[in-house]
Amino acid sequence: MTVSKKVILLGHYGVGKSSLTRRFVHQKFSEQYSTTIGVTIEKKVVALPECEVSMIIWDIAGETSHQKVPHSYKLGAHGVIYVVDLTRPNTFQALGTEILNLQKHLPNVPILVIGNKKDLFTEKERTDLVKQLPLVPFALSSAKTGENVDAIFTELAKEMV
Amino acid sequence: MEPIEETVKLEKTFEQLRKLLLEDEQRDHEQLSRQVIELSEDINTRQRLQQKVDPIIDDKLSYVREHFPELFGPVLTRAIKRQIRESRNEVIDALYPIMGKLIKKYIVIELSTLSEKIDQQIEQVFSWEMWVRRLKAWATGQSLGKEIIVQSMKPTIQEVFVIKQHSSVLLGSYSRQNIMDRDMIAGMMTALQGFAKDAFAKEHQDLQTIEYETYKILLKNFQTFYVAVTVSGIINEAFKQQADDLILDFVHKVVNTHSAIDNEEDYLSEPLRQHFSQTNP
Repeated sequence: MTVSKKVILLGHYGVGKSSLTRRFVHQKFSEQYSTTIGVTIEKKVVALPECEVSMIIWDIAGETSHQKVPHSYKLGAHGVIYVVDLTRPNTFQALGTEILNLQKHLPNVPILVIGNKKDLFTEKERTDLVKQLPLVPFALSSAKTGENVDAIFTELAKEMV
Repeated sequence: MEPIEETVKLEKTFEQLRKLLLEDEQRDHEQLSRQVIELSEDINTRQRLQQKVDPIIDDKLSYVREHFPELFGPVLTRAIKRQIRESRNEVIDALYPIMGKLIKKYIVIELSTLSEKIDQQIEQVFSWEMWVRRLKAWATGQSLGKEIIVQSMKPTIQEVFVIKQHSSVLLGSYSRQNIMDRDMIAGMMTALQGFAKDAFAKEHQDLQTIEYETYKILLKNFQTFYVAVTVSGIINEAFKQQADDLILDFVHKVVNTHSAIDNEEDYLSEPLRQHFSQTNP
């Protein structure tokens, strides 16, 4: 059995939402940055032991707060990946409030907080950095190396079914 | 001692002293001279110069080849843009024959298709349908020619999608041709609808049609889902009404009798195929 689920990616511009999506769907990465205008839709089927999850991924243009994202893009979402850039503190300074707000908008919807660009830090730096984050992220990822990318989407698929 | 002898002796002593004092400098000087000669030969002998310089040039060339777009792309783009801006007339002159040919070819193909269709219609000139059309044209006051052209470009339903509001989950689809991923089409159409609503801040107004080239997408919104119908050909009000009735009929007879709208996906594809392939207006 295949179930379709709408997944939205939120976070500031340039945190790596499109890169994570591209890495997950097409197994590709590009150093060149291109801004997402509006929204890009991608799809990938994740096979779980009990069923297949067809993830309709809404890669939404980055905004400094999710409240600036068109309301209709968030409506009907079955899962959220909130991405922060570990190299830019301003992308996670208001993380706590953002997630609380998002939970009010989308009650009972799983939200995974991801710290991206982990490849730019050493193990020690990463440990220190996680302590600074207002929330403990679900995972640290790297769209560049592909580390943890599949695991994040698979975990969200599990939480959505 | 004789003065000459003394002078010679002094000179010898001086020479010995000079050798002792300047021996290192002398050696350096000789080594430097040898190096200068070698360098001069390297520079002036083509083969030897090539051996030294070729690897460097090759490295640089392959770097330029690999990074050409980054190194020269912006400059070239700017130069081309400037050139186009400054020589607009020349560009038009250069493109005109190509564009002209393309447009001409397109018009010829379209006209020949239309002509074939009209020929087929005229062949049926003595058919019962043609007499009905003549009577219809006479009754409505419209020309028979116009009626024939409208018939030639009759609208046809190409695809139908039933999509869950907001989540963009596809509940069913029917298509006359192979199309790209249906889930992604459903997602994009939902995003477009949402964008139109948010951008124009009209909560109770919906996007009703999307047009692209010769295709039109008619959208019909319901509480929990919406129906998108892709149509080719010329759409008139009568067709819109007919398509509307067809959609409402489908929703009434099929969708409303299923209670699984929240649990199942793609469960409407088969009913859609049955409904629209038989009753396509």
